[in-house]
Amino acid sequence: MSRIHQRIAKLLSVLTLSAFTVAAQAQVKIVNMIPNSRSGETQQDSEPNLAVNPANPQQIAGSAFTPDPLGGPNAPIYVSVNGGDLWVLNSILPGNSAVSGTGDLTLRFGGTSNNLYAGDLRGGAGLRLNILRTANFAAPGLMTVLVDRNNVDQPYVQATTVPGGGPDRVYVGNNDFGAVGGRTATVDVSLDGLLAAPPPPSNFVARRIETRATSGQDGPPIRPAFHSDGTIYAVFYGWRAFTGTMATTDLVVVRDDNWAAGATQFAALIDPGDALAGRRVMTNLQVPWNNSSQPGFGQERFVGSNISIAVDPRTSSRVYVAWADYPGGVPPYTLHVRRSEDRGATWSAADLITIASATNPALAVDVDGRVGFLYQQVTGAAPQRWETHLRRSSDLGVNWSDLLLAQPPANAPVHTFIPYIGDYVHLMALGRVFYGIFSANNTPNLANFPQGVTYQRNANFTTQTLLNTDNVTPVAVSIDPFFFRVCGAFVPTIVSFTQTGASNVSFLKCPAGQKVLSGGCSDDFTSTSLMSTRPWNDDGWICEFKTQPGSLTSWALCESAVDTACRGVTNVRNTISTGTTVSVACPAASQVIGGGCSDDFTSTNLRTSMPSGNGWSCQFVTNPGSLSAYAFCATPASGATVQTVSLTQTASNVAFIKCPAGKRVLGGGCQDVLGSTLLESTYPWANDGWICNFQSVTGNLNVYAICE
Amino acid sequence: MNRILPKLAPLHLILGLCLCAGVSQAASSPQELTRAAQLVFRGTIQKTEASNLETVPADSGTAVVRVDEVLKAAPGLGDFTGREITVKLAQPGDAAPGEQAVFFTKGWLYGTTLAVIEVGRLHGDAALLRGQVGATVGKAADEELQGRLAGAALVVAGRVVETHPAAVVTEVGEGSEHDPQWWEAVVQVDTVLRGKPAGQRVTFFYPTSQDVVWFEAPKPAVGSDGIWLLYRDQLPELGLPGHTALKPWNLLPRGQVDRVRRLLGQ
Repeated sequence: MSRIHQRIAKLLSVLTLSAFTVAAQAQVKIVNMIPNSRSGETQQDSEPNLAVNPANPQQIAGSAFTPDPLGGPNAPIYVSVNGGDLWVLNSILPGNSAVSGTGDLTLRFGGTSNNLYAGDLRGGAGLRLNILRTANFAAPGLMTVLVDRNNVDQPYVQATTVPGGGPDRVYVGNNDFGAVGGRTATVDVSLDGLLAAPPPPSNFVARRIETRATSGQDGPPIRPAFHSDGTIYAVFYGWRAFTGTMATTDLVVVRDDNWAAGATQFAALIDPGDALAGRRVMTNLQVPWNNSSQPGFGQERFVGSNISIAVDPRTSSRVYVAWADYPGGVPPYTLHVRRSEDRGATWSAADLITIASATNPALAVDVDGRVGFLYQQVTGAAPQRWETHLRRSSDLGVNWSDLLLAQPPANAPVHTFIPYIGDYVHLMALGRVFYGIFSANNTPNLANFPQGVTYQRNANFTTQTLLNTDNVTPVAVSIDPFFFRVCGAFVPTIVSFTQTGASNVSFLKCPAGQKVLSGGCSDDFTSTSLMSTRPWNDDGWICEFKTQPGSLTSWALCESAVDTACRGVTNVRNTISTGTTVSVACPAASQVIGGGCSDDFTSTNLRTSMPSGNGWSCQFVTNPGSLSAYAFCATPASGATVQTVSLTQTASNVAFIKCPAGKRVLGGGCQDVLGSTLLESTYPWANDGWICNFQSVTGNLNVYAICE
Repeated sequence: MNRILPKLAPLHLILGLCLCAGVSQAASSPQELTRAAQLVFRGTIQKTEASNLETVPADSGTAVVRVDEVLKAAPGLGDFTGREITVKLAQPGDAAPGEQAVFFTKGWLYGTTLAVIEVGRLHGDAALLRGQVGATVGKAADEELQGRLAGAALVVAGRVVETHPAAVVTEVGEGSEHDPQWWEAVVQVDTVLRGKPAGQRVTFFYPTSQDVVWFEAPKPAVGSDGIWLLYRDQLPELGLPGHTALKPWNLLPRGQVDRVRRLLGQ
């Protein structure tokens, strides 16, 4: 800031400091996944799972107990190619049960390969494990069967791609009753998922991860998690005793530090108590077992399938686990979350969060380390309700926000089979976006969906009635899968480029995979004036100055494509042929986050480039024929507010302002109130402020910062 | 609504291989095509090189067809009469707007509307084709049952006189949510339709579990009456030492006995 200090002769004289907050309705999208052509269906579409393609987050696959609509031989997955707004069914899973499609089913995309992997119990075939793959999840054609093995339970897939163009790595947790000695906890591993080729087991190897004696088996759920540095965790219930109604179990976490590719696998985490691989996070947990619909628990069952694990993408040393039990052997069924900071060696002494009367915990951690915790809780009495909550914490689980996604009745419909809503749900994070899926009663009642909901199937929300494909005939209430997406606040990457060559134009692109939110321009105090500060497509910024005195800098504030897509970032433009002031407004339901101005190559000078209302306004000296204003607009983020602050500078030609504490700058602007000077620079000040530099002191110069 | 979508931007997915059954349209009879298809309908081509489903890009291999009459479909599909769907043609380019035909198709995508894959197409007298398809559909039901009867070790009519927990252990034990929770049912046989039961009573295993894997299986109670199709090795991996009834069709209503006799050639 030394240059600014040189230019500023006097301390800023703040006449006005103003701010306004845009009402921040949480940006949560919830979509009932039943396609419109299936409006007449009344299936119990429970136990959902979800996969978002990290290489293209617009591609999302989902699953639930959904059969082929035409009664064909293959079961469907749910497919979206527009980020979850619209869904279709595509029957590509071998085997079909007429009522549920498949047995247990989970899905995951590889990291960059665009391939979708699935693990299921083949429909109509008992406990026949299939691990499958497809290169195109929306095309016809069956998924390739890579593993085909009997007497296996609850396949749970994780997949990623080794960074730097490496292979897909696939990890499928499962409870394999064919394992020797009752040590059934297993992770099927493929070190190159794309090269896996039939006949089964292709290149998958079943790695046994239970090192201790069991009561005859381990618990049903085995959940793997990965970090991009090659650390692979898995968590499972190690059953030590089983009475038929209660399992006495350890909660065990294993770890591998090299993709499970070494000579020994999942042996990196040793328990200090018995020197065996697998850290016993908890011991002597009492996990109830009642494999029938429980009227007092929202018609759901207790089958000990409720654990989850998630790794902080910033550091593989930080890992979270969740589990369910009867604390001390006493109801209610309770969820717990704990954290390790040392790769699983030690764990938080107490729960980070405890939820009673709940099931289906699912954890995920975003790129900023924000942890998400999804679960379903039975509340109330006669009738009970199933509340689906997403809790999030930005401080390692000390404090949690709460988003209530759904709260429909739990007593209707009457269950057809169990599980009623499912033995699991799923949550994952890409960028700062949390994606998830849950199943619930589908009564079209907005009171059941406090964050709102979109139905594809025909529904009358006034009469709270589902309607068939004719949009007239009522359809009975049933259980449907619901997709949701929660956007996070922007944390822009600010990049700059300094033009020292002969050109009076400075321009730059955002880093790969990122989109521009706004931009700025600085004459680097060389006293030339600005003609244009405008976007370059959707991923760059251009600055055009009157002359090139030696140093001209362009700035771009950039954000990941997945985060900008989640918040629907759009760029609107308005062009005028007469008049020197041009403005543009953001569409309804979105708010301005940045903007720019262009002289459209007419060589006039810019006086003002500023946020105005819910849009952007530009003032030029003249209008030689075409002038444009640009506004960047985004829908609100959940748990964050966009706030524009401003300051009036009366004593200097340089005005600058900082965002409120804790907020980052998204964009900014400058206003020559009197219309008597020229704008020379408008650019970000670190990551939390904005600077304006005018040609002269007028006594009335405004700087604006748009902050979140 | 006849909504025609332009070709999608490069982000659209490339279609995979056609699922055409390999049945030559010119050489296939209505009966063969009906058996190969899941959805058979009389329809009118509205637009060629068109699609009305977002995930299907329009090209020379797709057409939008109005469903004029459904001749074969699963009951749960719903009524698509009068609606337009996307058909992936068996032969790209082999379609003309206004063309009326009976389309034999397999299901593909179920979205705002349907996308189906053509396995054959026939032109001709609508009433005649309707009759031929209908007859094949009716016959197919018999053929399906005939196959199930042929696979059964015993087909008997009788009444359940006893049920009790089964003293049997299979690989999937009580520690799995998919534990079948085996019971046995004892049937007092009054009619033997197939096989040679050891005595007047036959016993079979059935899962009492309401778990998603097993809930469809018959859940007999004392007094349950009907025609029982009892299998050996219905799911061989279970290793059960006896007969089983694991599917809904393992129990037929008593009123089907004449049909069963006919299909067994009696």
